[in-house]
Amino acid sequence: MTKRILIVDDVEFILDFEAKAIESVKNDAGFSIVVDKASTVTDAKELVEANHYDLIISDMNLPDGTGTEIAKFALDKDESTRIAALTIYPQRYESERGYFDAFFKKPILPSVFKENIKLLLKA
Amino acid sequence: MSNNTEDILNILHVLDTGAVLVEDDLSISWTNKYFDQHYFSDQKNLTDLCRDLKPVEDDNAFLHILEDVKSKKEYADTIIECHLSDNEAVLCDVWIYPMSGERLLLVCQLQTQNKTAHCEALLQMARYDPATTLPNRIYFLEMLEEKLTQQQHPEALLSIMIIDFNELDTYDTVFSITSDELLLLTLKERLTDVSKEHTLFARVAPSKFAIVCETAVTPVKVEKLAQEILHLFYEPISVEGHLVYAELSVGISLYPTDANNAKNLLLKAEKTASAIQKTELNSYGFAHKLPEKNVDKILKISTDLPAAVENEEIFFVFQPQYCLDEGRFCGAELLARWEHPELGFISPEIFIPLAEQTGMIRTVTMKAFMEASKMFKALEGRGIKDFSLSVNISPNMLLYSGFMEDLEFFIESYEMADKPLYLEVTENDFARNFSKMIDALNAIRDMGIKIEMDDYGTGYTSLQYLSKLPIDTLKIDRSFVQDIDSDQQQAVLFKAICDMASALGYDIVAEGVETEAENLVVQQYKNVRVQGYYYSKPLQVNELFELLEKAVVL
Repeated sequence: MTKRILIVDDVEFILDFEAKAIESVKNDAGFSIVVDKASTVTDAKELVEANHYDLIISDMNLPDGTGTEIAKFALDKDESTRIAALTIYPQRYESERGYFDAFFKKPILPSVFKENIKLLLKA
Repeated sequence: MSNNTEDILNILHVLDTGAVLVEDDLSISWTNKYFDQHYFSDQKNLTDLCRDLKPVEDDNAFLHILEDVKSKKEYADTIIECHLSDNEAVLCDVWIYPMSGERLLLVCQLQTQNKTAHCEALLQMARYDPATTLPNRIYFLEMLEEKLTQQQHPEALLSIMIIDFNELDTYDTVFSITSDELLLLTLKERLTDVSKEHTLFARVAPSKFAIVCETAVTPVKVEKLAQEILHLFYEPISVEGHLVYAELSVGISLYPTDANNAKNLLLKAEKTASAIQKTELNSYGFAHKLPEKNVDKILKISTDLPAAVENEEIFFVFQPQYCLDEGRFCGAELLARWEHPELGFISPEIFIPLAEQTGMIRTVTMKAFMEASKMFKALEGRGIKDFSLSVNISPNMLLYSGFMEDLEFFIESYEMADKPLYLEVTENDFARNFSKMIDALNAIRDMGIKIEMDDYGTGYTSLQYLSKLPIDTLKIDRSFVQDIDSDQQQAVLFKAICDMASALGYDIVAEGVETEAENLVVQQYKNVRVQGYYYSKPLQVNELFELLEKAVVL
């Protein structure tokens, strides 16, 4: 079984960090994981259009829009996709919480992030 | 004896009136100095004493009153006829207080004495802190107000210094009550040494002492006194086998600059001490240098910290290290810097302690690991080998349960397993949670990471401990290098530390080499790595590469 995850962030080192953390989850998850990366809302939408994602983890504050736009777009296409938001200020997006399965508070620590990924992929 | 009773007896001991503590079986377990000098000296129990302390009205009345106080636990007083040591019979007022454990406290006042000892005793209790017998907050304010009204020259300077011990209350949970008392008394004793030249010394809150300086006060002198106070606590306090490292801050307010009444002067000094405590422990500051805005600034810094890491406002510079035996730059220490878009450069001395308090230090450290990994790759790309990188670690990180997992993740995912990576832990950190720290450091070394003991020589590591610590490198504090060329004692100490470190098999780094003269001395030690402005200031990545590519031989 293969799970496909999309990670969206405009900060390169965070994108790299998330990819590495997911990679290390893969080692003890018992299934293979494919990770795609995007840095903008536009790129993310293109990838969502072209692929089925089990999980999308998106930064909320992107150069050309917000993570909520990606969430709406992905849910319109496939309601089964799990979506997590990554933000420093979760309280700012309280009204948009309904579009997300989880809010991860930034900055992220590997141990906490990995645990959250496992939970979302299981659910 | 209960804690409370002991406190009261401490106060009564110095009073100009007789006081006696009577046990349940009517034996006398304690008498104060005045009683010993003026009353009888050979009574072994109260029955004997009663032969001489005859109630005026009824022979048995006195004993009945005592029994009454014991059973009802209510205070009583009476008049007795009493024989003094010269056998003279005089009337004596006696106040009888019930104490814990069926004991009684008798305060005796000869009617020939003018003042009312009873009132005096109560006044003492209201004005003094029982544990330290120092004036308490109320009395301190009263005395300070009196001093201010006596100030003849309105421009005369007077300073109030608050010595605020961090988390002193929590020692209660660690120590027994007796140890807690001893700790307080030791704090008082150390402070008494510096405060004796000054007029007021008080305990104004459970963890706060106050000193007032009023003669020939200049800000420089006050500053010197603050430094002296901090210096007093560099060494740990030994309390019943425990070593306590006191963390303190000193807040100073000046009269009339900061306020013109006692209450506000005290409050300003206290506020300054607690503001300092939030940013830097074991430091001091003046109230007038801490405008209200500063508090807002600190709040803003705390709020902006999480975003600062992500926005790369917090970045790292590299302090190069030079290997004397190889004649080349062979490593660098990563130092965090913060360029805030509105506030400008924020000193690490401010934001690192805040990051520690808010838990953000974990993220800052993670970022340091990422930078180290990026740097190792860049060095490899340029063909530079055997170049070590050191990352500073806060002791809180080591004790945080997820840290080992996070570190493991970085080592594996960022391919640092075979890289010369060092974690720097300051010497003083070892003193806290010693066994947990040792376990954590052993686990880190098992991952192939080396440990450097930072600021060696400023802490309290005993030589016995030093040989047992799981470390690879001793980093000798800059204070041992400063003026090493002109100060013979410094040179001797430096040599002794180097010899000892070599004998124990540790590598050595000398910090703070700033002048050519200092370098000439340090250069004699070929096995030492050196860092400091003489070799290079902290550099940005591109500057570091420029330095390395020049292949400087110094």
